[in-house]
Amino acid sequence: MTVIIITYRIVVDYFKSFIVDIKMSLNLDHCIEKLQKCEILSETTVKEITDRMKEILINEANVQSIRAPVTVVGDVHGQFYDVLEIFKIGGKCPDTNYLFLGDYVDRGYHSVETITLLSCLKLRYPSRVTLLRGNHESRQITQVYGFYGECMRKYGNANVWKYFTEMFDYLPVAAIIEDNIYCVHGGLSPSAPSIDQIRVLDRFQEVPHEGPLADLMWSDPDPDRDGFVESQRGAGYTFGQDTVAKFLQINKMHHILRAHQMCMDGYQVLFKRTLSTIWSAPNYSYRCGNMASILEINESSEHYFNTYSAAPESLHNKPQQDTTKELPDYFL
Amino acid sequence: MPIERIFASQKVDSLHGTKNKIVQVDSNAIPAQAFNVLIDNRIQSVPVYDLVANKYSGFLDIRDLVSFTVFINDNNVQAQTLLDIVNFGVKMFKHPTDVSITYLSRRNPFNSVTLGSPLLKVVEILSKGTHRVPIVDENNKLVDIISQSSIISFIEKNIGVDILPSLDKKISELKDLGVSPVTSVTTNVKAIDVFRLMDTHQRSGVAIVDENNKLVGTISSEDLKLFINNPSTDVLQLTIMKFLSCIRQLNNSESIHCATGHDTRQGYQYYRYS
Repeated sequence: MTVIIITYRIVVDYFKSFIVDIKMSLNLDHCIEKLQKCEILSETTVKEITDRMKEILINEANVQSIRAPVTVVGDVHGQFYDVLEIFKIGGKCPDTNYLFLGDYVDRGYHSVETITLLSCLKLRYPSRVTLLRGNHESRQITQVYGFYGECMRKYGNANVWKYFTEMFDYLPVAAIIEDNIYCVHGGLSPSAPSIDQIRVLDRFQEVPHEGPLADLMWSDPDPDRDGFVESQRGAGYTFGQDTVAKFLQINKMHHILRAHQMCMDGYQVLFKRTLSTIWSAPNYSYRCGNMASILEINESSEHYFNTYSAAPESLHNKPQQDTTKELPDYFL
Repeated sequence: MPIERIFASQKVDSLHGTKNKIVQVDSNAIPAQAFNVLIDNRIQSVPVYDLVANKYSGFLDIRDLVSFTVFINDNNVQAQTLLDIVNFGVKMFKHPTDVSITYLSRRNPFNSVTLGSPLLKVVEILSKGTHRVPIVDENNKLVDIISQSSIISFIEKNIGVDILPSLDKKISELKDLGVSPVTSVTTNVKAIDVFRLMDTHQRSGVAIVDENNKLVGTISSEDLKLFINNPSTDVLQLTIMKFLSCIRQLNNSESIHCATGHDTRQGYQYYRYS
């Protein structure tokens, strides 16, 4: 008689098989190649991509630590050809490290291609790419501002929208570069003056209407008013120079880097160079005529705003329909 | 007994069970994150540090993931990722949203022993069924975890047949060993049912018995390919031997160790350790 003992070691090995090496099941290089030609991937591939993304994102902290050199990118809003332009100007991934501050979808015509490409790059080079969550990485917002409609048109159903919006729940909400530059999509929260408070939030949920998580993604700096004032956007707050100074002091940071607001010059520096806004969608909504920029931070932590205008393909590749007209059957 | 004296004179400090690399999780991690830590490090349980109470709340154990898997199977739900398993598994509890890792870890209490204590204290705790003993310093900081494996390793390195003559005896000759009832199943049982047994019987191991000495487990390359590309809870429907074969191939893990009545205890220890 022969006996084999099944121990918990086998159990651990079984569960390990769920965390399969990405290269085994997904040919990421092939996916990236296809996307760079502005070709969308199949629904099943998108499901696999978002499943794998959730697995790696779950291990990322609410506040991710990043080392210089790194290139920081602001809102891109589905302007796919302008995203390709960013890689031409800032350097290819993984040769250049990238930190994206959110708002990958809505308004542009190629939200699907944009978010799929960025997700593939993250999966392929996880330590070289960091993706933060913006206020548009939300089920509610994407149903109004174009991503939902685009998914319906390109895939015939809402599954891809569902996969991505589920994935958005897992994106980290802030990052710190070299222990002194605090990066977030929107801005500060009166309920979270300390970064340690942000570290312990439960971020794995739809962007709430209020509270610290909402504020991080919706707030704006106000050079004309001190303190925290309720924002006219309907979520988040505006915050003044005094709050920035206090935040930097309490948290021992030197600078706040954020996006969320369009800048005609592509970037704006406020509050005696303690806060910068970076905007990476040139000719926003294909009509604003603004410049865009990416912020290059080198090994010595020097800042360089590399500005650019719309890519030629962006001007010529408008689809027939206007994405902002698409609304779902129900309103929120 | 001379071996008892050795354990009494040896301090826990010298064992270095975790070889200076302690894996732990903080209470603000969500269950899926914490289980990921277990699996990445290939360990069965991990101490959980309660950030609010400023102390260790217990150990999060992979046995909870086994309970979740059995629950998912019994509810005919298919899970394809670890997240699926956890997200559905917590519905086992009355208040799924309250299932934090602190809550789960309380099922495996943190009964620590301080540095400087005799190894005998740890051995006594381990002999009662606990699988690992945390060692803390005078500031209650976790410095080591001593498991049953660490003790076996210690015996293998330091204790010869002169101290422990039974090491040289055949396992079948040891009257006090191997007499408690064994949870055993035959080879045609499904893997999910083995999981169920491990879950309900609270055992560390389930024996697969083959009367005819024909323990074979082969899995077709089609089944294997299917599982690689679509890991899921479906593979638990395979018979246990096919399941083992699948897991072994996927992980290139060590061959399953079997001991027969003819092996000596020392021989088996060495085998387990290599």
